[in-house]
Amino acid sequence: MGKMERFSFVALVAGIIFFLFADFISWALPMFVLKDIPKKSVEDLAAEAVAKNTTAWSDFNKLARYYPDTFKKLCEYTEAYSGATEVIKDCKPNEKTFAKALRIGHRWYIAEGCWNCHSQMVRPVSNETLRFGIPGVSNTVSYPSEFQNELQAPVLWGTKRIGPDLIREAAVHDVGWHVAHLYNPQSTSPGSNMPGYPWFFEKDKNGNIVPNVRGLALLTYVMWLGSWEVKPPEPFRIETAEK
Amino acid sequence: MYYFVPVIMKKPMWSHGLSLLGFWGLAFFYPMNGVHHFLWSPIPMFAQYSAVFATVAVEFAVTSVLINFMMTLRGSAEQLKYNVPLRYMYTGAIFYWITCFQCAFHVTLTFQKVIHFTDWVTGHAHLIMFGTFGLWVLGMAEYVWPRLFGKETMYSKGLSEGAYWLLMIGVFAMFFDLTAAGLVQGFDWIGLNPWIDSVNFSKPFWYFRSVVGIMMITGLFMYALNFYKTATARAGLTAELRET
Ligand code: HEC
Repeated sequence: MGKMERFSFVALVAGIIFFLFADFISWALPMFVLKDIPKKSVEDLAAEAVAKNTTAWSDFNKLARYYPDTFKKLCEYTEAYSGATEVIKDCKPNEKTFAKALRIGHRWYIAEGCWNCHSQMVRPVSNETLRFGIPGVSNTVSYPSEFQNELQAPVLWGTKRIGPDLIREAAVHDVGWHVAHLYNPQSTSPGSNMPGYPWFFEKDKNGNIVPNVRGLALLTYVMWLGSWEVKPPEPFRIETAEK
Repeated sequence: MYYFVPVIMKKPMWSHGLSLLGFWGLAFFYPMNGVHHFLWSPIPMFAQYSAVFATVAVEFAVTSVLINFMMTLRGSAEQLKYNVPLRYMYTGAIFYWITCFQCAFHVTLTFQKVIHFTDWVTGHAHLIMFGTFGLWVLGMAEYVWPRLFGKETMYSKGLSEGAYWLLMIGVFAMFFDLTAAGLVQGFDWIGLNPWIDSVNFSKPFWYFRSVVGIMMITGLFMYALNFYKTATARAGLTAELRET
């Protein structure tokens, strides 16, 4: 009995120390690892995209040109849920409107549960760089710094793939495809079990179905994913802004 | 478990030392286990390796816990036949071990290549969350409930048994189904087939899962009905078969 009690006591003390140690490594180490990677705000990301003239920036310009009424509403739109509280006076595709669209789109990506079916991480195994990248255009494995920003908080790596990964989506489809797909996935991808999202659309004054503000923002966000990695061949790049 | 199992069987745990070992083993190794969800992700390899190590270690800690419970059961296994709460707990314990055994393998970076992001993981999570912790809670509640209302036993033996079998078979079938689905999906993705293939291949598994899920929900309704009837039954119910 005495021996047993001594064993219990040793196990107790060792256990408490072990526990604290394990706790320490599981939360303190990640902090040390991340401290040298600056965390970017949505505004930083938008500015970067504009400066580098990425595909996300040109896609946003296309959306603004295709759906000018919705774009106007975007400038006036406010919504506490996504922290978009500012009415933008200078209503043109610029860093400000771009950041606003990204912010709203990101929040609605979360709210609609897109992450239940879509991951946002390319792993270095299982041919994923081949599947989710276009060789020579975007074939990189996910790396830490691309996740150190406001649009990855909370982290959207996801846990289950029903649909394909989206972190390199910018390289895959064009604006028209995305609009049609979001409204009715079966129209572009027969057999898809992705639900349609008609509530991201509205009728414009001519009776055409066009994305509403949230829809436009969501599409901006989805097409932004991976745009920092895409190196488009020249004809792919369209002229942006102005007129 | 450490409270209810001795109370129901009216005898102490087989080994106090082993239960301490199990407790602190789990307390030490579990915190690092969280990281095993992020293998092959862009986090430092040292974190991933320690997660693999800690997760395999948990399997050993869980085995020590299981040995303790099984040895406690020795000589009293008869009770599993008619004592449904106890059966819930031991079923849960065995599912726990199966889950952790599976985990020790699929936590390796090799398995992860195939099964990450597939239904395999979903099946695994069902077995641990419902099969183990769910069944434990159901067992504990079923033990406490009649006593709360001054009854000697649950309202209906049939409902009680029916719920148990539906839930137990349901969750285990779902586990098998999703594990198989996960392998199909994983290898399909590696094979670079069009994405829609993996959706089509998964459909039979998802239909089966729906059927099994309906089974489980039926079981839960039976369980709830039994609780309701037990609480509202007028006279004190008496046990036909006394639990020892
Ligand atoms: C039920 C699961 C499910 C949900 C929820 C879901 N998707 Fe999908 N998604 C799929 C599947 C399956 C595909 C592949 C077939 C297809 O193209 O429709 C897909 C494809 C896509 C694609 C095309 C990917 C590519 O590279 O071809 C995009 C973009 C997309 N989804 C965006 C979204 C967005 C945005 C949401 C949230 C509003 C969403 N999905 C919600 C299942 C889902």
